[in-house]
Amino acid sequence: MQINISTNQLLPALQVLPRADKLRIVQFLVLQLAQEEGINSSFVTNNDLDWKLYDTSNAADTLFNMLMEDKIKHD
Amino acid sequence: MINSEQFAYSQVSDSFGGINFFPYLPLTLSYGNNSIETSGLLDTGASVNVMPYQIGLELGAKWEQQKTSVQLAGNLANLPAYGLLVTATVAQLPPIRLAFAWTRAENVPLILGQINFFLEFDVCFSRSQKTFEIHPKKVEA
Repeated sequence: MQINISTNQLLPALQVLPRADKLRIVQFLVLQLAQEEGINSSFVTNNDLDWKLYDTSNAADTLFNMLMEDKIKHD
Repeated sequence: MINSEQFAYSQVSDSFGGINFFPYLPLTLSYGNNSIETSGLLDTGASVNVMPYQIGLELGAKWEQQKTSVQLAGNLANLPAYGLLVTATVAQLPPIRLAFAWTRAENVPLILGQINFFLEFDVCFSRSQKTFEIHPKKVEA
C-alpha cells in the first residue's frame, strides 16, 4: 500500500486526536518496533496487566443484549 | 437464606518475585452438563466479564459454534472473542447467569467485571483487612 502522507502532515493530525487515540498510537508503534527488533512484545507492554477492559462499551452492550434475550427465553 | 459471603484476598506472586494480594472469588461455572470450579478476579474497572480460552474449552463450549462476536480492547483487541452465557454459583448464594466475553487469549485470568457480575452482586472490599464480602443484588419490591 502506498502512503502519500508526510510526517509534517501527520503530526498536526495526531495533535488533535483524543488522548485515548494518542495512547493507542503510541502502543501500536511500541509493538511494531518491538516486533521489528524481535523483542517479546508482552514484555514491552507488560501484557498481563494491560487489558484495558474499561474501554469496551460495545462488548458490554453485546453481552447485555445476550442476557436480555436469555432472560426472555427463560421467563 | 444466606445473603452474603465473605472471602479472603489471594496471595499472588508477580514476575519480579514480589507478593501481591488480589480479590479472587472462588466460584463454580456451569455450561450444559459440565461444571468447573475456578476463581475470578473481581475487577471493578472492567466493563465486561472475560473468560480465557482454556476455561471455555473445559466447560465444553465449542469455539467454532459461537455466533455472537464481541470486540474487546487493549491487548485483547486483536484476538477474537465471543459472547458466552454460563451459570455461576458463588458459595451458598443462589446461582446466576453470567455473560462472558470468551477470548481466544490464554494469558488472562477469568475476569469478573461490570457486565454483568457487578450488576448481580454488591461487593464490599476491605483491602486493609484483605477480605471482601459479596451480597446478591437487592431486588426492588
